Amino acid sequence: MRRDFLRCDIEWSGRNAVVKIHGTLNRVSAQNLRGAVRRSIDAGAKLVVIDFTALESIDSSGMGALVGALRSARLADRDLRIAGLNPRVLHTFKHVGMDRVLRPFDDILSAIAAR
Amino acid sequence: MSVGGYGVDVHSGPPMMRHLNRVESPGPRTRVRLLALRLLALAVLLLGVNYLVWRWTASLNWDAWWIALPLVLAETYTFVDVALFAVTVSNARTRSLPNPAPPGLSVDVFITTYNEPVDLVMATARAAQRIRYPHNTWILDDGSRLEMELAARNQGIGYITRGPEWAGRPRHAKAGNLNNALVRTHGEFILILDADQVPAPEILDNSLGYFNDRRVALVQTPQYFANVPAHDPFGSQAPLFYGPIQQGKDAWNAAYFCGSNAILRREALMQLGLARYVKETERRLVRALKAAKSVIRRARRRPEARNPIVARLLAEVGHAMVAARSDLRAGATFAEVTYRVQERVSAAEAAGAADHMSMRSSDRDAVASLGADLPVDFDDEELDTAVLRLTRRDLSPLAAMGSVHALIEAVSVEGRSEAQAIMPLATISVTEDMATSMRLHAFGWKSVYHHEILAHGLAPEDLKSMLTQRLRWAQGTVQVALRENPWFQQGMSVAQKLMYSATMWSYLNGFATVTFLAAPVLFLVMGILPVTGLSAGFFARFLPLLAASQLLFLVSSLGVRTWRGQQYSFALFPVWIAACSTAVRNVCFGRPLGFAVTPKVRQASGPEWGLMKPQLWAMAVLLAASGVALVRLSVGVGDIFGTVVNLVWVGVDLALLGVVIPAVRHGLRPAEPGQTSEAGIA
Repeated sequence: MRRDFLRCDIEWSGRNAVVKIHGTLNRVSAQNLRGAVRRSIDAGAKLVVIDFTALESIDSSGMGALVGALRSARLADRDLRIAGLNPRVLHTFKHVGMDRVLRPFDDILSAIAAR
Repeated sequence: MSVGGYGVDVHSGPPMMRHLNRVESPGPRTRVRLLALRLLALAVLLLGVNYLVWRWTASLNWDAWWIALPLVLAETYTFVDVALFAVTVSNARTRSLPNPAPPGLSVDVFITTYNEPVDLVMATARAAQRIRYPHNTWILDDGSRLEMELAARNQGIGYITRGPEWAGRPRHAKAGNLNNALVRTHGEFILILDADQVPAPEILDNSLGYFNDRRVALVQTPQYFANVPAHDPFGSQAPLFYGPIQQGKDAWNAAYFCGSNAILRREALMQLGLARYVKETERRLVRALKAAKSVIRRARRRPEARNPIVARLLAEVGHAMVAARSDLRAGATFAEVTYRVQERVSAAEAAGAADHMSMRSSDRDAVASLGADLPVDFDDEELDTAVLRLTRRDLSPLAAMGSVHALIEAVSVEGRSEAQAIMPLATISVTEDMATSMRLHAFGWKSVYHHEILAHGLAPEDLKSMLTQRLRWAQGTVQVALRENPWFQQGMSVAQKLMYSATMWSYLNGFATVTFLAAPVLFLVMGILPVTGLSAGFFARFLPLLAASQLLFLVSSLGVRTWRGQQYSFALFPVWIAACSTAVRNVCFGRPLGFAVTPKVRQASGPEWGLMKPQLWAMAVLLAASGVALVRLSVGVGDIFGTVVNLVWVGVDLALLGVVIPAVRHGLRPAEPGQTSEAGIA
């Protein structure tokens, strides 16, 4: 897989959008995530869940984009959650304290079910 | 008596930096010099402690405590300044040439501008395009000027200006300009240039190699000014700072970012921004939830709260806040805590709005007239957000209760008061550069000082601009010292803390200078001696210290001219004092810094003596005091030896202050075409 590649697939379950991201979320590919989240919100998603299971790595710009996505979801009165982080991504996440901001759920279902 | 009064850290002398156009490699001569510096530094420390212990314990003239005490404090201050300088330069490292830049890195070159002439910015931008290593060039125009945009596009240069999200929010000057550009680009490395700093084609080839070390976040190169005459009337060049001082800091991994001519690693900046966001959000949540109880209690006491709908709403908001506080304590994330609060409040409001619609119209009016609320413990910015956000909630009775509304606003992850959630460059100070590099160091990143001139800039050309620039630097440094004092930051080594303190400390020297001016005047006019006597014991302790510190200064600045810098660090005492007092008022009482806007064009139509009034008065007083002393001697009053010593002291003061005369006269020189007064200030 190319270094700066990120594919975003949007699936719907009711009014919840699940954005599955494949590849690397970094300074170059971050805009793909922003675009996918914006599209989900515009399409009326009440909740956007980012599925991390197919994500290999993340950098600080990628996490910055995630905060940006959370921000735009909240400004539109929607919510954003994340699920399925692999240990490496989780480690990067914890290093800057992002686990204080967003709870990394184990899987999509628990992310959707949580209150 | 002064032990040398360098105050050298940031304001140093004239040009002669051309010799460093190549990076020297460390040879036996530099090793000998380093050894000499270390021995001298040790001597200065020992002799200084010896002198000061004696001064504090055995020499104070308590009859004149009101001058004796300030003087011994000023001497102690100066000794600490010199000691920090000694620690810095005694470790000055000459780096060997870095590895060649690896191919294939992606680099953005940012040229920051606000109101500099388009031609000047374009000259820099075209030079930036000619940088050899592959890169993208961007003009960051904070003035959003159409002519600037057209000129950039014509040259195929990227043009970035603030997005709509900045409207009505704090702009954070240059830091904001850079932060705005960071989210709009994605290069792995960023070269930052002020509008007037014309880069050399090899600037990236010669610096990117340092980043092979994955922990290096910053490479700073010198700032050199091409429009400064050889005698450097304004002390614009800083050969001591961009030399032994930065090299010394570099050896302790504390070389710091100076705002321009530096290459930064995006990953490091973004990491800072994220960590900052987490910290600020937590701080805001904790503060808001703490204040919630009293805000709700006060709101319930208001007459409007007798309305059952409002009372119910307030109770529900109160419950939500209590629950949020315990959730946060139990380890719930910010997103969860804020989501629950917002959901609960929304639901309550929806229920309230339904009741509201079924109310009689007179009751509706009563609810609508809920006037302005009591002020709460939030800052203006947070209260502003309440005004910003009146879309969804403006039908709710809570909309009219300012403090409750602000409270709900604050319990969010969005940070609505700022244009961007993530602010990679520090916005706590007008000198964002130092604050940012301190955070980088605290996060474990490394910095490099690369001792080679790779950009040529323009220094201010009139007195007023120069003074404004120095005031700004000083204010910014004092802001950082107060807001993020290195000693209260985690993650830095003691050496790094010392290196940052050295710079901050040197900006306090205005107060010491006043004492060094006043003490000889008091002796010459009134015969008041702040020491118990000018004994042999005094000279035996003072003269060796003076000699050692001067020698240390001489050896450390070998090959660079530093006299001008020494003069300015002394003579600009009114600027340093003004900087300290305005920065303290700003940080502690939230008052604006209030520095004058730098004039665009060279101002002077005649010499501006008024700008140097305090210095000129000081010189007049020193001269008058000397005259009085001579008269006193001729009529047989006063001690000959003491008078001679104090006249020598006055001579030193005058030689340092004397720099203001050529500085003011320099304003008479006609401006050279194509050069602006403001260059180098951005």
